[in-house]
Amino acid sequence: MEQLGIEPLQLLTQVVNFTIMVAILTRLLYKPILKALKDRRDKIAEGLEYAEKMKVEEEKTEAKRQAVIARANEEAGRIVDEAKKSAKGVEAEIVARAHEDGRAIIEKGKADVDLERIDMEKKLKEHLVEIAGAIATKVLESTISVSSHRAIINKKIKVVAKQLS
Amino acid sequence: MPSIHISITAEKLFTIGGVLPVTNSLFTSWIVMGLLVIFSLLATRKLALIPGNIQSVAELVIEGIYKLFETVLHDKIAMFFSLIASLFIFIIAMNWVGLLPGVGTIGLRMLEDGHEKFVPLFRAGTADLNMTLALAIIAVLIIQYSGLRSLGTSYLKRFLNFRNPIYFFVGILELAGEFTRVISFAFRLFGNIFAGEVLLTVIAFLMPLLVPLPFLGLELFVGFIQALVFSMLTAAFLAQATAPASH
Repeated sequence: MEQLGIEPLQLLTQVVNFTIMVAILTRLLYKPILKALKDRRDKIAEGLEYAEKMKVEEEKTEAKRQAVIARANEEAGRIVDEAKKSAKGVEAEIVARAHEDGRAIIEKGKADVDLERIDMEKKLKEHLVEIAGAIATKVLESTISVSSHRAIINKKIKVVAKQLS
Repeated sequence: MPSIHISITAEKLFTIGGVLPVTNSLFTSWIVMGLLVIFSLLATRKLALIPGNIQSVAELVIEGIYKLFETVLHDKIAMFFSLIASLFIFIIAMNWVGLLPGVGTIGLRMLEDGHEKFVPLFRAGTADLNMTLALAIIAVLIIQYSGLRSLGTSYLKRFLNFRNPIYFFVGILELAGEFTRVISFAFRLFGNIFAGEVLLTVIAFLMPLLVPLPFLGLELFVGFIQALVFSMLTAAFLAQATAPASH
């Protein structure tokens, strides 16, 4: 034993050394590190669980969104159809009113044209009388005396006046 | 001509209080303990969810040891983790510190029996039988205590079984095996590490340049393997001792 260097006191010292080392390492190294590892594992598990929950939530939300979109599309289609129907009614009404207005305008135009024509004819007749009078005056001035001339004119005026009335 | 210094026993450096002789292996053991304490403090000083460099190393080592020995101890890992991890870390640290430059070469010239003698200041703790024997005794005592605690008096039936002569003989062999475990634990570790140191010393003495490098690598590997063997065997014996006997 002595030749191998084994001494009871040295042996005991090494036993105490190792026991102290186990206690120190347990307190300073193993417990904190194992706790940190466990905390991280828990955190990761928690994160994964949360992610899984979020995925389910997202799927639910997506389904809801799709349902809302489908409902909105349906509603929009219905509104468009209604609008189209309504627009067709309005269109027909507007066209009918336009036709009516057009007819009224045409009628009024015709009436105006008739009135204008009558007025024009009247003015033309007056003008013709004046021209005829002037021509007759010119002719008679060169052929007859003033007294006969006046008698003829008056006679003619009476005839014309009678014709016009 | 220079000579090589090889001693199978650890050499005394000084005495504390005139009672406790401090050998170079004990002195180196204290240094290793100090380094491990400093490492532990640095690693766990600012524990964060996203670990820093030292915390990452500590987590890698601790988690690696935990998972490795969990395969042997299963649900009992939490109970024995401190012992097993300490054995592994302490032994590997001792083994590797013994390979550092200066260990075995830096020393004092001391007077012994009237003539001057070179005494290395540092010596790998596991290259001293006192250390390996102490670890072996602790391991075997804890194995026995755990067996008794887990199985009660039925644990003793492994060693004292009077059902028939064969079981009785097997029990005697088991009992002898428990004692030889101490010797095998202690001498395996001491033998490998001491032999490695001698090998490196001789190689470095004969061819100091480059040639020792492959042997240094080999000794690093041996240091790791011996730490693993010691702690793995302890774990296996613990698992065996705490499991119900098959006969």
